[in-house]
Formats: sequence, C-alpha cells, structure tokens
Amino acid sequence: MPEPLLRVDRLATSFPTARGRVRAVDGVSLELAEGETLGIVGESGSGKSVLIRSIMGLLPPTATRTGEVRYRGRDLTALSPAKLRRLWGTEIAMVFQDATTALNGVKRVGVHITESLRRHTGLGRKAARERALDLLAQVGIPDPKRRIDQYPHELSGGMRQRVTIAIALACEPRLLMADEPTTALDATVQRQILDLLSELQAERRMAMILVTHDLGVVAGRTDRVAVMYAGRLAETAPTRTLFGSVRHPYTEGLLRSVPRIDQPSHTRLPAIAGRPPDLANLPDGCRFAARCPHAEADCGDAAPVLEEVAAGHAVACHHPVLARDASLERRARRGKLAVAPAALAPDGAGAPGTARTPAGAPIDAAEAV
Amino acid sequence: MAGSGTAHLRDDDDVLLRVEDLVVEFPLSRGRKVHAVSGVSLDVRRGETLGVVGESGCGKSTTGRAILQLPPPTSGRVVLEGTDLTGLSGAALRAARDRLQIVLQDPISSLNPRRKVRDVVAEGLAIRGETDRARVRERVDEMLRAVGLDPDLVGDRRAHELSGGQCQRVCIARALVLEPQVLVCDEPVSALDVSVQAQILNLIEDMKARYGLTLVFITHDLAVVKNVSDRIAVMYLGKLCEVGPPDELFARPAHPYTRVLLSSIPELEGSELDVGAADAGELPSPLDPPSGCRFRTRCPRATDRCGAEEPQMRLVPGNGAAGASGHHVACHHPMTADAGPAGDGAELAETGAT
Amino acid sequence: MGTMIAGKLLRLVPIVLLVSLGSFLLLELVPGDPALAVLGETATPERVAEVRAELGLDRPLAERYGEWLGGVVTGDFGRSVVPPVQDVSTMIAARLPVTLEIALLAMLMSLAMAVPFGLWTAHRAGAPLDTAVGGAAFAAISMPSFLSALVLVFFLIFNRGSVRLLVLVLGLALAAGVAVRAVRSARRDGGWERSHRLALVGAAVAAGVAVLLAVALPVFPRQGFVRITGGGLIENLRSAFLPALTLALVEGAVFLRVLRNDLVGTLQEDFVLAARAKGMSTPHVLVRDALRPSSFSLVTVAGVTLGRLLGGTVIVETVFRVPGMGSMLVDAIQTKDFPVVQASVLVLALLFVLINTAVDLSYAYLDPRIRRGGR
Repeated sequence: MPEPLLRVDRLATSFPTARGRVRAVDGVSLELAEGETLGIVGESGSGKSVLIRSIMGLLPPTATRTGEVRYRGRDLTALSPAKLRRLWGTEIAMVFQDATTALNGVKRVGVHITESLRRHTGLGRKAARERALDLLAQVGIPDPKRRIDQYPHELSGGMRQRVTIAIALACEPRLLMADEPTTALDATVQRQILDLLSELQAERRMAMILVTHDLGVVAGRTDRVAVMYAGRLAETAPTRTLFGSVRHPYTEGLLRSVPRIDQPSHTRLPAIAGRPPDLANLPDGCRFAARCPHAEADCGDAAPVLEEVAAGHAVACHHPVLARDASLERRARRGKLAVAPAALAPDGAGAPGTARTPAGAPIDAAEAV
Repeated sequence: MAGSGTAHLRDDDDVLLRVEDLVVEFPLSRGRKVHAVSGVSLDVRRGETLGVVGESGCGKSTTGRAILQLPPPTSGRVVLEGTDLTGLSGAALRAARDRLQIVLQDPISSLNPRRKVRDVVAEGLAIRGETDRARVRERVDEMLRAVGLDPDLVGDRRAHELSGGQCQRVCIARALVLEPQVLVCDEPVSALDVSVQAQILNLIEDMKARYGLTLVFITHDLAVVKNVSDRIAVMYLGKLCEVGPPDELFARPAHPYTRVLLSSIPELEGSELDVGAADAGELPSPLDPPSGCRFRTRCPRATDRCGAEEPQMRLVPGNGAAGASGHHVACHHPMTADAGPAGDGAELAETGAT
Repeated sequence: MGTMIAGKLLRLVPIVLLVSLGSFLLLELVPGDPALAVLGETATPERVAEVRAELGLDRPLAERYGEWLGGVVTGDFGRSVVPPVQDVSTMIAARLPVTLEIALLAMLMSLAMAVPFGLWTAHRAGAPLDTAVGGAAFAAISMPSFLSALVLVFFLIFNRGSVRLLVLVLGLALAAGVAVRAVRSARRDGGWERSHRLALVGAAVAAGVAVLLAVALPVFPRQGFVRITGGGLIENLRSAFLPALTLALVEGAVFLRVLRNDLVGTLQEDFVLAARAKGMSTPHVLVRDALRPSSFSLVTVAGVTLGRLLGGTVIVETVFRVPGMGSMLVDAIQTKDFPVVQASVLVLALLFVLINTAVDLSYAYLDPRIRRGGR
C-alpha cells in the first residue's frame, strides 16, 4: 500500500490550565490520501480545531503534544521550528473561520499574499505582485487590480474569505486545512465559498481537511468524515457510507437534533441531553455515555476503541446503533464535484435576463466521471 | 424583495401585534443615513410564531428591536393590542415593554458578568416595583425551574460560570418572569452548539405553549425558521420579499431571493430547488440602496421595470388555491409553479429547476 | 489624508489662542500689584513705576494682550524684569534646544529599550525572561529619578570597570546562547536554514558590540552641558548621554510595560496565527504583523511623555547641571519674572499641543480604518 499523504498516529495534545490539564485531543489516528477531502465534524470543545493545529505543529509553547504525524513520509513532530516554517504555506496551508480576524487590518490585501510568496519562492516584488493579482482573480475577486491595494475592512465578508483562500493557495500547498471556513458567513456566501474550495481543490489535486460543526456541509463536500467528540474520534467512514448507516449514537444525535427543512413546522427536536464532559476531568469509559440514550452499564467501564464495522467504517462504541439520513445520503452520493460551474463564476453570470445553467447538467456529468 | 405594501396584513381581531410601514434610519455625518429598515409591515396573531429570516444586513434585528422601541423607529406604527407604542414615552412605554420582551443572540454577553443569576432574573420585577423579597425569590426560582435550571445549583452563579446554553436559559427566564405577551427572539440559538441549539429551540416551544406566548423569531437559519414558525417573512436589505406559511414558502418559493437562500442549504444542493450559488456581487450599501426592487442588482430575473418601480406585496399569482394561505410576494417577476404573468413563462422554465 | 491633516491643524487655531490667553492671564492671577511682587516691599517708587511700565500694567488688559500677542507672533516675548535683564526670546533660544535634545534623546533611548524587549517578552510571555524584565521595569519605574541619576553616576563615572565587565559578560553570554541554539537546531534538521545562519550572524554582532563597548566605554562628564556649537557633536552627545539615560530608564520601563501588555493581546489574534501558518518567521510576525496594531497605547503614552519631558525635568537638570527649560521656569517662578514665565508656558503648551496632534495623526497611520477623506 502506498504511503498516504498524511498519517496521524495516536496524536494527543493537552494544555495546562487552572483547572488541571485539558486533554483537547486525546489519541486521534487518521490518514489522508493525495487529493482526498476529509471532513472533521464536532461541536465546540470537541478538539477539532486543536487537532488540525496539532497536525501542523501550530501550537502555543505551553501545549504538550505526543504521537506521530507523518507527512509524505516525514515525521513533522521531529522537525525544528525553522524547518516547519518552510513547510507551512508551501506544503500545508490553512484557511480560518473568520476572515475578518485572520487578516491583518493594517496591511493591504496584496501584502498578505506577496510576503509569503517572496519568502517561500524568492519571487521579486513585481513578480510576486503579478502572481498575487493572478491568485485574486482565481479565487473570484472582481477587479483584482483595485482590490490588491485595499485594506481588508474595505471588502465584504465573502471577499475577505476569498482573500484568505488566495493567501493559503499562494505557494501551491498539497494539503489545505480549512477550519470552519464558512461558519462566519451568510448562507448564500457560504455556498459560494464551499463551491470555490471544491473547484480549486479539484483543479490542483489538493487534499483538504474540512473542519466544521455542520454535517450538512460535510455531506456534499468530502470523501470521508470523522466525527469527533471530547477529543476523540467517535466514528469515521466514507461520506456516503456514513449517512447511509450511522453507527455512533452521538453522530445519530447530531443528525437528529438539527432542524430540517423537510420536516413540518413545530417538529419536536430529539435534542442530545446534557453537556459535553469537562476536558480537564474526563470520565472513565465512554465519554459520551452520560448523554447517550443507548448507554448500558459497561459503557462507563472501558473506553471503546475505534473498530471497523464495515469497509472503511470504524466506530468507537460498545453498543452501536444503525440509522440513516436519506437526504444527506442523497447529497453525499452526488459527490463533491456536484457543483454547477456557472454558479462558481462570480462575474456577471446573473446579469439581467440571462438564464442560469440548469443545475442538473453538471451533476449528471459529475456522476458519470 | 425589496418591496413595500400592506396587502399581506390580516384584518381579523386575533392580530396581537401589528407593524405598519416601519422605517428605521440611522443618521451618519454629512447628511447620509443608513436605511436599515424601509417600510416593513408585519402582523402576528395571538399565539402565532412569526419567523423573520434574512442574511446579515437585511434589517431583521433592527426590526425586532424597533418593535420594542429600542430605539423607536424613525416612522411607522407598532400596534400592540390596539395601542400604538411609537407614541408612548416614559412610564407608559415602560409598562408596555413588560408585555414585550426580547432574547438576544449572544447569551453570555447579554448577562451582566458581575451579577448572580437570581439577581439578573429578579431585576425586571424590581423595576416593575415588586418589593416583597420572599415573593420575588419564589417567582424567580419558579421561573428558573421552568426553563430547566436548578435554582439551588445555578442561582448564585455568575454568567461566566455557566455554559452558553445555560446562559440562554437564564436570558429566557429573565424575559419570561415579566409575563410578556410577545417574545422577540433575535437569533437565540445562533451562538450555540448544534446539540444545545435543539434544547433551546425545544425550550422556546415549551415556554410558548406553557405561557401562551406570541413569538417573533428572527434568524438567518432557514431550517430553524421552518421549524419554529407558523408564518415566515423573508427580508432583504431593509425590505420584505415574501411572506407566507412555512410549508408553502419552502415548497414553492415565489421570490427569486428566497430561491437563492434555499439553494444555500446543503441538503438542497442539486435538488430541484437549487438555482446555484448566488452571485458573488456585493450586497448593495444600505447607505444608498438600489431604486425600485432592492434585490434587482443581484437578481437573475431583473428587468428595467424592477429599477423603475418598486414591487408591492401581492398574493402570489397563479397560485389560486394557495391564495387562502396568505402567500404574498413583493416581486414583478415571481417564480410560480404554473405560468406566471405574461412574459415570464419561458424564463421560468429555464431558471426554475432541472 | 491631506484634508485630515489640514482639518486637525485648523482645529488647533482656537486652542492655541486659548493657550496664549491663558498664559497671558497668569499675570492677573497674582494677588496685589505684580510689580511689588517682583520687586518686594522695599522697592523704590521709581523702580516700581518702571516695572509697571515694563509689564504694561498701566494700560487696559485687552490692549496689553493684543500687544503681547503681536510681539509673540514676531518672536518678541518682551524682556525679563529680574536682573540680569535680557530679551526673553534670547533666553528661550538658549534653553529650549538643550531641553529638546535631551528629551528627544531620552525618547529614542527609551523606545530603543522598550520595543525590542517589549516584543521579546510578549513573545515569551510567562517565561523567566519576561518575569525578570518585568521586575526590572517595575524597579525602574519605582525609583525616583534623582536616585537613578546617582546610581548611573556611581557606575558609569566612578565604577567603570564593573560596567565593562558586566557588558562583556552579558554580551558574550547572549551571543553564546544564540549560537548554541542555532547549531543545535541546524543539527536536528540536518542542514543549515537561512534562519540558523542569521542567528549566527546576530550572535557574532552581539559579541562584537560587547567587546567594543568593554574596550572603549566612552567617558561621560559628571555634569554640565556642551553645545554642538561649543564642542562638536561628540562632546555634545557625551554630555547629554547621562541626563537622557536617567530619563529614559523610567520612561522606557513605562513604554515597555504598555507595549508588552498590548502585544500579548495582539499575539492571541487570529491574524498572528495566520501569519505563522503561512510560514513567516518569528521576527517577521512580531515586527510586521503584531507591532503596529499593538502600538496605540505606546504612541499615546509616548506623546504625553515627550510633552512632559519638554516641560522640563528639573531634578535631572539640577543633578547634572544642565541649562534646560525646567530650571529656567522654576527660577523664573521663584523670582516672579512674569514675562519669562508667560513665554515659557506658551512655548511649552504649543509644543504639547503639536505633539498631541502628531499622536492623533499617527493613529491614522497605525490603523487604516481610521483614515477618512482619503480615497
């Protein structure tokens, strides 16, 4: 079997706090192939953001990290800061949740891109600027010549997120870490940004880890999904498999507790009771047991480990369930390329009177691929 | 969207809250002003939940606050059971505010970090002039229990010692302890985690049933608004686009903007309602909104008429049977299931769906 | 941007007029006859009349103010009333440059101390170095300036050997530490990165500077001030060094704390993480990304400080016998030399107002969101 692009083995990260050591990530193993998209789903405090930062090595000095991160065969945990910095941006890049805070308000848009180009590729001032203009155009920013000299606050939220994507892509990374890239955006803009990411990713055969709290986002955009709870993986499976046969009670709970537009109004939501455990004071056994409707006596004794229940589908649960979500499964089956190309063009595609490309055609094409 | 008019308002006696031609403008320097809300009319029946949905900058929160006279609107009427609140001031307005309460988006920052939970909830009673300490305490504890908190456990804690979900429960208790008739919920679950969201949505439904509340529920989340509402109003850039019952509105959205919104729901991507992502075109500035229909600059169906003439609210055309359901739209070229007004048919077939 | 500057300057006009009126009216605040206050009860009536005429007390207030203002605009502040009688403008012309030089030098020195240490301690917030520097800053702030002046004199003039040794030891230790870290890091990576080589160069420079200082520590005069016109730039700087350093110790410590605390906040921001995730080096992140958004408080404090230093630092001027504005003003107040007081107050107030305007304008440079009226 060929070496995957990324192999994470028993990664654990903890931070000292006043309440004791917080084990934010606690023994996560995963793999990612070239060009593959992995969705990491979890609520706040599940450790999903810390996980991707631990993979990169982008942690505060107080953090303790154990385990192994192999990227293209190299162990990232053994690299010096200087070597890691050469990797960040060029091999692995990151897109943040809130572009407003991820961009430096006192720097012009272009500088954000050119500084990393000049550092990593040795391009001259002029060449870097040309390349930055090019990148801004690629991420769908109209009138890049004007935008490049503007400050972030002069752009709309969606435009700013496009800029952070351009920054991340500047040095052609092989792996993109997208940390809730659309959570701070309006619904319609969210769709544009997700479409853009899918398109750019396909173009460059770039692998992506898409971190989100929204199972709906993951359904149409990823090849595989990992559900995180309290620092551990609860369930991981190919996206289509997952929505067709959800095995972990937490994943099931997440799916059920979200209001759905295909339900009639005033449908009572089967909420997950209680709250996630305190990461500084974790229970023995299964961390979800206290909130789990299917918990039995043995759940509190030993922590369940990830076990394969079907091809590529692993669950960490003593008493797995079996559930499915028809609409997300349908969405997942369409695959991540089910994106209408016309919808991507942020130009005048919607000019008065012009009809849009019917959304169906490209979907069929994608399924034929 | 971007339309005005009052055709969608209902005439019956059961209407508890009626907002007519609400305008909220914020003056800036050099005579410019932000047109936050421009001529919005809404009504809510007793015991009904009106969902107001739209993206950031559409004026939905400003509308919610203007209903509570926070701040009072620039013009228009807010009539609660026959009383026009916009004319009130001082004590009369304070008394009226008891009947209208609000729950805000960020539960943690909407609680005073230095005050204990019990005091936060009791404050409204004190302002109202309730002086009997034992009775206040009893009332507060009862309210905390009603929202699912144990008063002995959390009563003496402060906001930072509680989770976001617990803080939102406290906010709801604070609002309901005054026994309001109308509760305005401004994005009450947007800042919460998915699993907690469901708990709070359920709680709001429970409280509505238990206390006979009438709700104005403001959110950007289409699935949430569908779940909680009896009637939904879609807003864009300070104007109403479309008003109708949830099932009808989601099954047959008539306004092009509603369609764009629906297309942004991941579950619906690639479905028959999907019209692709919206144009990346910028949201027009509320300082200088477009003439006529405010959505026309981003609308695939816009014509010259849309710039010249502002669409008025009207019953969704060609929707005969559904007319009774009160599905209204403010659009010159609505998207309807069967043939729309002359000239729209061909366009519809292409734009509508797969 | 241009219109913004013009607007700010225009707004200064009424302030300046008010300040001038205020300093002029100082004279009116003196109880009784100012001429008698100047000369004392024993003065002859002729002399009193002379001083009254000099001060213009025999004419209406408005007329006097107009005349005084007219003089001020042309640089004529009148003459001092206490012997030796001189043109006030000449006196200010002699004193102001001295104060300006020492104040500016002190500002430069304190910023030179505060910015690098602020950046580094914020980067390593909570580490031993941060605690040590924080403690030292606290000590410097707490120490009265006459004491720190005496301590500096004790070491830099009377115990030069110990200073040389200290500089040498600290400099070489720093250089060695940096070099060892770079070599270790390079060995771990199995190759020399650019940052490793830069660290080695830095270590060599630090060692060189330490040796140079230890061998050729300049001699500083115990007191007195040499003007550039009187003894050349080198002599001038030597005589200004100790007074400026005394001031800089305190102000630098204040700046350091202000900057460090703001920086610690900024370094938590997403854009700092984003810059690191792009592979930017630590110095780049600190200087290019974090420094500017963190310097609002520093600039504000520095502006106020510079204004205060210009107003005179009587203690330092006295300890080092420096002929600055502070001692002149204090003398003039004691001898009730009103024209001198009026003129000094006006000049200092004007400088203060100008500095604060500059601070205001610098906000626009620091944060593009504040800029208006531009494109």
